[in-house]
Amino acid sequence: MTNTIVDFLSFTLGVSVIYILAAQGMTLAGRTGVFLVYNEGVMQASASAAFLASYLSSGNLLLGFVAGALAGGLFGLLMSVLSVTLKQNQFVVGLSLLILAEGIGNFMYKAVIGQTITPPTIPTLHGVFIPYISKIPFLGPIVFQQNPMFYLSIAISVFVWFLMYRTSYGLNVRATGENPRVADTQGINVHLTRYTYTFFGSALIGLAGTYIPFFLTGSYTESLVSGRGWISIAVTLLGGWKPLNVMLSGLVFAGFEVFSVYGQLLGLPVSSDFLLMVPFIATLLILIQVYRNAELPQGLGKNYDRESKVD
Amino acid sequence: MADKRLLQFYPYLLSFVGVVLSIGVLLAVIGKNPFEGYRILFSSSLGSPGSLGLTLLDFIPLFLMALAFVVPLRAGKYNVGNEGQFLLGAVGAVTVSFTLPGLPPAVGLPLLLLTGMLFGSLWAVVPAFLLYKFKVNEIVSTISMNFIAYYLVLFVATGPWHNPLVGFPQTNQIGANYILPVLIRSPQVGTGLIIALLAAVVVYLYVSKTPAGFELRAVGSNPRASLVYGIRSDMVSALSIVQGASLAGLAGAIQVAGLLLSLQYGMQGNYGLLSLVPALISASSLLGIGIISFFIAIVDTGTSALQGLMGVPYEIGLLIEALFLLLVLFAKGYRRGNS
Repeated sequence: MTNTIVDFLSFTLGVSVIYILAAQGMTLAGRTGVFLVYNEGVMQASASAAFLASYLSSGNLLLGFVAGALAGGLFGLLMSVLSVTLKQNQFVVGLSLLILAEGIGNFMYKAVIGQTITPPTIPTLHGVFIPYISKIPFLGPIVFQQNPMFYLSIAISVFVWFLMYRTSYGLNVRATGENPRVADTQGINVHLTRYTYTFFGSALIGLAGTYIPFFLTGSYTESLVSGRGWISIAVTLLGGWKPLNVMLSGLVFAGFEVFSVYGQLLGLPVSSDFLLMVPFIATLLILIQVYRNAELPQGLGKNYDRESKVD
Repeated sequence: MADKRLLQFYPYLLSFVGVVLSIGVLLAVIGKNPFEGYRILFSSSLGSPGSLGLTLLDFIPLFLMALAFVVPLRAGKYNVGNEGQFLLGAVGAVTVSFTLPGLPPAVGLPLLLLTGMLFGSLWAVVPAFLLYKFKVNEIVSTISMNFIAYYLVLFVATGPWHNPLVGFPQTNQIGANYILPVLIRSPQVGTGLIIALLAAVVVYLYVSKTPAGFELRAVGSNPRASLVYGIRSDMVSALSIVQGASLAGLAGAIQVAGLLLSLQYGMQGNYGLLSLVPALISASSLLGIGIISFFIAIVDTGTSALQGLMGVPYEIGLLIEALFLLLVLFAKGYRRGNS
């Protein structure tokens, strides 16, 4: 039983990287006022780019991560051009880019690899045993034997929190998401800030997508992301767009996903179809609670036009 | 004046040309003959009465699901859950067929279609209620309902109605009395198409000619002003999602009774994503939605043939539609900046 619990929790932390990175990316852009809804598609496209890069370089994972992040960043750039500069509705642009990304991911993969009976594979990430503390009973195998990306995702979360909430620069960045007009009058370059954080935020979403084949599957499939991108939006909402809370909420949602897998292994007397619904039902239930006391960035989802007379 | 109206179409026209060109470029990039590609794309979707029939069959769910998206969009809400509502409509259709197998078509067919609409609407009641009561963002909640619907279809399609002869999650065939009759043989035009077009007329009349439709549009353009004017904005926008969902449910029921004849896992294909394109490009004109839906049906049917005959990945269709949408957005934004 203890072993099962250790496995469950250890796997949960491993899976949480997907949610934490994607939601942290969404938080970065959201704090400057740009609402990203294309996570699901961008993760798929990035996973494809990353898989191909690492497969064609005979298993170079680092190259894969770079390709995945760049692919994500590219979508961030397109998002900024269309919404920040050309002032098109952020949801409309996001959904359009989502469709593009969903198409491009599978298209690239099939154009390069083609149809195969068994999909080609790449090596997956290994756990790193941190000296001494990885041997602590119970806690060691859960927390201190994870792969490097887990530690990186925690470090990124803390860094984002520090940058946004403990520096005056971060205050300026957040001002562009709260009240862009005031930020503008204070001499903050609203457009540049939004471009920058939409780019880096989307790159993080790209890393999240990359992590799925590199950690879970070792291969690329059409249904690789299967809703995790959408759930990552709920992760951000539950975390209230605050980096440390977003990190914790990523762990919670990873728990739901792993539960829906382990539920079958543990022989719960429920149809597996219903177990697979769990993360999404949990999302709905949690959203109710989230919106009761929501504190969104005030300028979220609204484009800023310096020459407009109304906000 | 005439110039101005022409100018209105400029972005769409330019984007259309851009899209048609980009098909060739994409084909060339992956090493296929672009001219052969164009020929197959259009001949397999429009070239013969048979292929036109296929395109029309594809048009029905695309058009209805675009309408399911656009009705709430008029109230400023994004019903990205039309895919799940479509599936529930299909579940409703097979439920009627298998629980009441003996009904005569005159009673059974309307019942099947209405049940599809009802199931689709009920599926949307959850996000609509969450929106109305707790202000939960409808994009995330309707999408969550999509995924729950996928697994529900899996459950139903492998349950007691499962067709044991198929090694795939799929139900038995519905009774012959529940199959929508074909009206014209060549090109094949079924009752489904007529129903879809009638539904569009009803939507047009509702949105443009009724007080409720006026409230819908008022809420979409300015919820706060509508509230001051005495419109219950929250209620109107929540209800709009349910109303839209009934059309997606109808699409699911027609897909079962007019084409697939059973409930199949994955029957939603890419309809959810594709149906957003016409609605987002032409939110204000139902005629525009119809035309763009038809164009998408052409591309969708044509790219299936491209995959079969030339080995071009089917996803080229999604790419093309997304490019179309992005080019229109780009052109609109660019024109806005210059005016």
